[in-house]
Amino acid sequence: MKKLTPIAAALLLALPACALATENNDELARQTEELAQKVEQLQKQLRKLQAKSGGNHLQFGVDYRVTHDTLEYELADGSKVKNNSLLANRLHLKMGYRYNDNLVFKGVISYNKAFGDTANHDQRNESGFADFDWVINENLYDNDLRVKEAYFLYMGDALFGNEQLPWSVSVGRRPSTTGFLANHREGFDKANSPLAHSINVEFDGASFNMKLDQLTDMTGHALKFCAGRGLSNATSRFVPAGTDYAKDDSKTDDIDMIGLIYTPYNDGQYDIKAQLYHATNLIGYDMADIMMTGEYNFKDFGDLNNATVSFEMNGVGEFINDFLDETRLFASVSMSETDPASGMAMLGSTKKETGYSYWLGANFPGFLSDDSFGIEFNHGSKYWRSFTYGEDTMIGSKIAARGDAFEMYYNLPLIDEALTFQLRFTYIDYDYTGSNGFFGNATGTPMKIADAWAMAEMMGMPPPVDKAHDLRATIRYKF
Amino acid sequence: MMKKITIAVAALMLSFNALADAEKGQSYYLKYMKPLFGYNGDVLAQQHLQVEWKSYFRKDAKKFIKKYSQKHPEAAEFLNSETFQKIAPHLQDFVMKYAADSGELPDCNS
Repeated sequence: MKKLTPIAAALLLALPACALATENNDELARQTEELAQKVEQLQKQLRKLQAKSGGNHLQFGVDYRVTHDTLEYELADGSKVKNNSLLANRLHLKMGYRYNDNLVFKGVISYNKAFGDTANHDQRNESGFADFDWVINENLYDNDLRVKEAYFLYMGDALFGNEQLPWSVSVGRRPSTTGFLANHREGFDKANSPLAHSINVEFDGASFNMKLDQLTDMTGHALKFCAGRGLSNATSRFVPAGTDYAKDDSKTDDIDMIGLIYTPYNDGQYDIKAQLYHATNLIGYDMADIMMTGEYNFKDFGDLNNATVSFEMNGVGEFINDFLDETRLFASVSMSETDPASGMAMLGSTKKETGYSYWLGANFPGFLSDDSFGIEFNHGSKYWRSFTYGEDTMIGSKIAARGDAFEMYYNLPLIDEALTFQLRFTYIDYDYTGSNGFFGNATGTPMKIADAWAMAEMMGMPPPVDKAHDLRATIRYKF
Repeated sequence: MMKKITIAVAALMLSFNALADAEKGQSYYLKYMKPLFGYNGDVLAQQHLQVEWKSYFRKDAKKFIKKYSQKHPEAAEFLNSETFQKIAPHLQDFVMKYAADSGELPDCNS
């Protein structure tokens, strides 16, 4: 029998230990893998928890601002009417809830009021329109909270089972003020849905949106249908006849609107959008009726069609320098066409009348961190009629101007995006009257300012506004 | 005179110092990355929590480049380009703003 060498003996003795160590290593690896899986599961659970606790399901936000306006109207007779210090504050309380990945509710409640009360306590009702639904949250009113937006949104991944066709549908009170291009003058990065050149009012309705970019291979390609009701004809509750909410034939009919927003191309730098709409039974005052009855009663004057094309360039060139990267240029053209009801002088004419408007603007970065400048110009023709009563301008919608409007503004973040300051100057030079009127012949008829003044003087009426300007300082808190 | 004005304008343009901007990040994503990734920016942003996005964009966005180059190999060339480095700060602001735990909800423009 051969003797074992010391080394061989040592190896023999070590074998069971090695086997044991290998077994232990396998066990350790298995346990490590199990542990890793558990950690991964825990991470997933933690992510879900963080997402929920981070507010992914529930959203709350505030947009509160205080404004100081110095406004002046130059009348056709050369006299001036002004307010050197109009202080106002506006609050938007924003809320949202994500029920699941597809279903979201969003809402905004708001008040917008002048500081304190007005001298004769009639701020709400003097003109009779302070509480008009289209502009309820744009007008200075009182400190009651009102619903500015309330809608649900359902987002589908595949229309008719086609995964290349994501879609969404939304019903409710629309985010239809401060739309595309009007966001810059408000100091907002993001625009709401409609093209602000022709629509800037609150509105109840629905939309259906299809993203066509995957289907057509055109970047940002999308089509959105919109419809809604701008005015409801119905009797009130508890009428003596007991016919609650039935149609009231003595009043104007429902105002309905249908339209579409088409985005043929949006690559983030170049964004072009077109908007078409048709609105029915539009209201206004009839001069003959006022003269006869001495009362202001709405009449149905007819329908309105509009076509708008807006283009925005977000950054000039590609990485030429920071200034050009941060510069935005935009241009927009719009056309309105009246379709008067039989025998009604819509905008003062019983014929179809066409109005035009163009709007140009530029935004530049400032010299400090994240501040910016803006400059805008728009012009409207004799029969131009926009639906921009809710535009955030104290002297009346500048976009509605039948004449020229010029605007400059400076945006300065004071504390990040939470506290910001804006200084804005708006100047409007009217060529014709009736820019911000309704659709009838009493407030909507375009007359040369000098002609309107000659007529007003003859009838003993006040002179029309020839020019107007507003210097506004805004401080805004937002989260 | 014209030359002086040109020089002054050029000097002004060079003196602007752009900060990162979420909205700009969204625009850059739409232009440069969506065609490569194939989904919208909000889908990207929702893939991680804010704290995670922060770590993804540390050190010239190394972790982001590595992960998304693996996930979308067709985007690897762009992610390793100079252009991506230029847009990365804006992109970071964008994904942070709309991250899974950001509390931001889509609206009817979405």
